[in-house]
Amino acid sequence: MSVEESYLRCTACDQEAEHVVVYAGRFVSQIQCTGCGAVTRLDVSEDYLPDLRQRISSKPRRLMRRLRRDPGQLATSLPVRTLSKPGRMAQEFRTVWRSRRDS
Amino acid sequence: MLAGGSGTRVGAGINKAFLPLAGRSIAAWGLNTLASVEGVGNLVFVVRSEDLEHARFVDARETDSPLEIITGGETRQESELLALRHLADRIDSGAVDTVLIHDAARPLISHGLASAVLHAARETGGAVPGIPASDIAAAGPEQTLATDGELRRDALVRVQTPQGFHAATILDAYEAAARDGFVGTDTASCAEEYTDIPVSWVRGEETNFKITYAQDLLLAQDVVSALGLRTR
Ligand SMILES: [Zn+2]
Repeated sequence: MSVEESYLRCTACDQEAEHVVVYAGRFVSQIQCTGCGAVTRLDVSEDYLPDLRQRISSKPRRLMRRLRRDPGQLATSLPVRTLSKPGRMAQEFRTVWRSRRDS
Repeated sequence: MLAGGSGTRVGAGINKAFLPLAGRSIAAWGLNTLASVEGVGNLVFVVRSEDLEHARFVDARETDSPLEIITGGETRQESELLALRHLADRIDSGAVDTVLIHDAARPLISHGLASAVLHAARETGGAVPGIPASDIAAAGPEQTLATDGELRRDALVRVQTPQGFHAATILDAYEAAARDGFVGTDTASCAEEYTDIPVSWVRGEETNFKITYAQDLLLAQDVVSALGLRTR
């Protein structure tokens, strides 16, 4: 999940205002106008989940490739990576799930 | 390509041209499409000074062709003038014969439309994409529609970008406009005021819309998914 802010026009209040744009992976899942507070949520799971699944399924293979290539280097970097990557992925899942529940 | 943004902004947000759209910035989509058009040589990316870092990132990571990044002016027209001056030597030598001026906020310009505008601009001296505005009506008094039939609906087009022009002619026009203090709404209006170029229009595309409303981001990513467009 990542969050950007940008100056855009709002469909609810029709004013130009900063908007908080939330991304679940590559796709926008939520937009909030900081002027009037209007929130637009999008169920991005249909488009987005195959993308995320693909990334997860290719991950063990990528790790195995690296392990064969450079076992020592991976051993030192593995704990950080295995801890942080699933953490980020879980956060992305929650964003998708929330947008699905609220819509 | 112009990434000026709209007027003065407040807050810490980024220029919409640099918001991600399905994996890369909005500006990068149009730049890569234009770069793929046969006949397009140089890509000049006009940005505000506060966006230079973003622009360099786009150049380094999101586009395949090198960008010539320059800082724009206070207005759209001034930014266009600076871009044309940046190319002036190459325009004078004949190395650059035609320019296409495109809004970074129109990421989904198609290869076909950009080619058509370039081709038409080379034929006639000036060309813009237009969509017949059959949904436009003239307003009459007190919330009524005008009935005197002054407005011929089939005679109106909604104009998009890229707008293409004979380079030497449009450079002269912009220098003349700058001397006179003339401010037009777009490149075509400046051409109409200062040149004899007959500006033709080619059929624009609904998907070549300008990201204005926040919700346009959702529309744009839908188009990316529906058309199966690739990030690279
Ligand atoms: Zn609003």
